[in-house]
Amino acid sequence: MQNAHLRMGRLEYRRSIGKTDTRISVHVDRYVGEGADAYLISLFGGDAEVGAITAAVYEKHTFTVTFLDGSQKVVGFGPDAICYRGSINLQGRKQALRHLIAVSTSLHANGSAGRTFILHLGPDTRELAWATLVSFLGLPADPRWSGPILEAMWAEKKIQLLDGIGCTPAAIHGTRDDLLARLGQALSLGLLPFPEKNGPVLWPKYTIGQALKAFSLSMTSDI
Amino acid sequence: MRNVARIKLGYYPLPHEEAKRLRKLLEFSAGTTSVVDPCVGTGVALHQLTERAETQKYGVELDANRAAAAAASGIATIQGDLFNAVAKGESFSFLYLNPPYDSEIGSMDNKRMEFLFLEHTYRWLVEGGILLMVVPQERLHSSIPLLAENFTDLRVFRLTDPESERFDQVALFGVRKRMRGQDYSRNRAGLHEMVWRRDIPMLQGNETPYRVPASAPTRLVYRGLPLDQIEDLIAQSCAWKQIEAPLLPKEEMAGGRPITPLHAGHVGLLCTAGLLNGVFGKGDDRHIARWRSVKSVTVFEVKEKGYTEVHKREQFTNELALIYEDGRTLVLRDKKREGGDAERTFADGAA
Repeated sequence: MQNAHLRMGRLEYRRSIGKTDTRISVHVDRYVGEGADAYLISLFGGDAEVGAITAAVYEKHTFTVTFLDGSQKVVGFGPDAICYRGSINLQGRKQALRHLIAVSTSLHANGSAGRTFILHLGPDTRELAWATLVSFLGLPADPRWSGPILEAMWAEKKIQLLDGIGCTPAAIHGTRDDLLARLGQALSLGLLPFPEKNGPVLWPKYTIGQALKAFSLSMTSDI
Repeated sequence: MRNVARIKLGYYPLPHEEAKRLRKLLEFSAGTTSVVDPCVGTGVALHQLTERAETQKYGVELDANRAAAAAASGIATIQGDLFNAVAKGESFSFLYLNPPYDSEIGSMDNKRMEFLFLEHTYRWLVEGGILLMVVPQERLHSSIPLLAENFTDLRVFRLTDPESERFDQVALFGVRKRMRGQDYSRNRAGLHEMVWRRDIPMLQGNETPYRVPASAPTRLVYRGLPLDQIEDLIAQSCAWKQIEAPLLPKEEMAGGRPITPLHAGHVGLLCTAGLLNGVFGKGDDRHIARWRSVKSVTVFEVKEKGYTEVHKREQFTNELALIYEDGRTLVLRDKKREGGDAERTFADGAA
């Protein structure tokens, strides 16, 4: 796709030790956070830049994230964050570009503590959000229930939008017992269709590529 | 900058009438001349300003669609951030600069883009090369020291097109020349006066023209990252594959038909693995069942002579959640939870 710079943010890491002042700035293609808490960041850069940021994440240092609208926030991952590394091979470049995804413990334990994180919550990814919620909470449910349940939860402010770059992240508040009670109530009122036949409930398969692409496409259509 | 302007990447092209008048102030030498526009847009302005002159045109443009249009019009265009574009010093005879009217976004010292664009590109001009800068009048102020040190024969004209008046645009001409000592001080004072005077002369098109010297063809190189290409490739990075587990729903479905009938042990294993989730039962007892594994950690202490051992015992158990067609729900666990494991219906207030 074209004009990727419109969909990317920046991460800046500054550190001063004695007379040495380190300043690293890299592109961020995905970010999920809430205030000063960063939950997920995906960034890329050279060996040294990504290496330094990886070390800083493990050292619990803070970073300045610049969002698409130019606003900035100082964020940190907290204790026990996990870093995943990859590389991107570009045509005409001898060295591969380094890719880093840092994830906080709260996102790593997604679905526990009464909060489920959704990477991209939009009208085109409602089914994916519902499938994620059902899977992480272990709910007996049907894919067709996504609309009524998520709309009701949105109306009751159980869905909270988070800070995002390259996605529209959200946190859905509710434990399995809460959701199970909500489903039971909706079924008893006849608001949800029950599967007509016995057998497995078939859920669509999703890949990370689809989840990431969904936002890029919606951004392009907005612009 | 307003959000609308940001979306346009600060793209406000030079009005045609102004371009015509400005063209009259440029006299190109015989022979080839290399000219550059660091914010080339679709290239219309650069073509108008170099009309009928034998020029090699170069440009940089951030927006992919406009860059493609400029390239199609015959300008050697780099698509990307100007600050990652590099050219040999003193290689262009004419620099046309109509930068975005904005500030940079950094953690400190946010400078004006007009100044940063000039600072990055003025060295590309040959000695005697001509600078034409179109900016709002008040934005010239930040560039005065740099202009006074590196240019001579500076003149500022007010642009009169309605679109230019909206942005209070002025056109600044200068000839590249290193100014030192008293020359610099004189130049700076003169420029100050020119920039801040209220009655800046209007551009008529019949003013004394500037002579653009000849220069050999050159090269603009891009050293930045190809973000468009990276955006397409990054989803395939193995880092994303490793992070799928906490972001995407787990696939819990076994397909196919067993070769031999399953016996109770097999069924039990498949159930507890969550591979036999689905709809079961008849009549009022039709329900959706879903299994899941739950990890629990029990911590207990053992007191020995003089010390205490802390033990952590991890245990995996299985839970079965059921939801009936009439709205009843039930969770079956290995141990009964106080007041929580009974079948719940909406009517008894549990739901």
